[in-house]
Amino acid sequence: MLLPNLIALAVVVAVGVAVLVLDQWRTPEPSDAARVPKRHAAIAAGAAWACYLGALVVGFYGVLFVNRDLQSLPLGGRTIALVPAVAAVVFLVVHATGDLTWPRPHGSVREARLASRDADDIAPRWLRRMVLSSAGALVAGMVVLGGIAGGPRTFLAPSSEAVGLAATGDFLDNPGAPVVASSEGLVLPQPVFPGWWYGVPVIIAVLVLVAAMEGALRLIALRPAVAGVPATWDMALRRRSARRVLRGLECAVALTGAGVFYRAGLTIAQTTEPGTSMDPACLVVVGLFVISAAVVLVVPGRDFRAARHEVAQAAVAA
Amino acid sequence: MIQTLRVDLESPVPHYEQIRAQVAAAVTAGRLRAGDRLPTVRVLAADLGIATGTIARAYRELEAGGWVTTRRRHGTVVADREPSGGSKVGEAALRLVVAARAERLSDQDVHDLVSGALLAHSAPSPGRPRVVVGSGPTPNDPGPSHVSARKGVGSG
Repeated sequence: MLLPNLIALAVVVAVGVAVLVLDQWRTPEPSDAARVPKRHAAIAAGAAWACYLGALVVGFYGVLFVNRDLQSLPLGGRTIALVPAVAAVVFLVVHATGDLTWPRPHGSVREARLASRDADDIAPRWLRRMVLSSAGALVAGMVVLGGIAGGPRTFLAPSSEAVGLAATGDFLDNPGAPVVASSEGLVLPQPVFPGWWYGVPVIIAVLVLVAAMEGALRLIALRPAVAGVPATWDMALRRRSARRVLRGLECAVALTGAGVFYRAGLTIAQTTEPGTSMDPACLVVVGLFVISAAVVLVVPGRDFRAARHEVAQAAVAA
Repeated sequence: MIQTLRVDLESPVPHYEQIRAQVAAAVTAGRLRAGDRLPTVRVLAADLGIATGTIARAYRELEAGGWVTTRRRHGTVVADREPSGGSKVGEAALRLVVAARAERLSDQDVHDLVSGALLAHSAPSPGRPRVVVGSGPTPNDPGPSHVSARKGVGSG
């Protein structure tokens, strides 16, 4: 029991440190004034990603294993479906803390650029659209699954075959769900299906995430500009922060969507076409969610390309 | 080209007046053009590290002077306006600056010259009263009335 915990902790710390080191390595420093904000941004990002991963590990591990052993809380599939959203909120809170504690301007002479900036200027457009599209797809998917579900937690409507209700705790994922009699006379629970019982909290979580995303982007746009550096460098640092926020949210939405549709695909296959392991339509949706998360994580952000060019030119001129 | 705003916290000139004067100068010089969006009050306050009320007052003064307009959806944008006093005065100001540069006068010297000229011809203006910051009282324009004139302008 101790070894998996230690491994999980080591992975979380390693992710945080890796983000820190990578950030320090690939961010140009146009002047000494850039050092403090650059380090602040790197620490905030490292802590945010470490907390994100930590919250995912604690959430999944806690619900799947610890709670199953103790059976102290009525946690089940619905809680598991919400773990990525909760982890993303933790990620955003840590990131927002970094923006709220951003180094303030100091000195008796202050400078500011007379150029407007808002969330639209700092957030990569395609990435923001992708997050919003994924969130919209997940909400629409939950509505469809809720519509085809016979009951709030089952794929098939309770029929005359239903012989009772599962007692709380008997079936971790489905307390209170109908049970059916099998051909051998055994009483089995109906397979779990993400109907409205799962859909409503997931939809609420997605809406909260989208609102939190907009708030986090506004905070990044509002944080004080770094004095003594080119405007392109300051904007590049903001764009990188915004990119991180959007990546984190896309991962949460995609993870939730892939999990929900994976569960739905299994149940549909089990109840409609015995012998098949997965409904093909759901499998496609799962694949799309996984690909979207992979794309936002793999496509590199070249936010500092212009700033790096300017720094190199300034160095040559000096 | 991005115009940079500079505020000296130790200057006797009020912070809002420094901001107002620099934005007005940038518009006059053509560095800010009609339709250019200014940063929001909160963004500018965060960048300068001063109170949002100070920025809001500077923007109110600019709006009262017709330099900017504030619209709900577009924020604060530079207004499309004719230079005050017409093109003749603008050309004269340009000639003054060219002559000052030729004489190697500093900006402060030019400001002092203009302030002195304004005080020497302190006829009541048909528009709103304007105070020359840093000028002393004159027989025609005693000091305390400066303050009351300024307070009467756009302090809402």
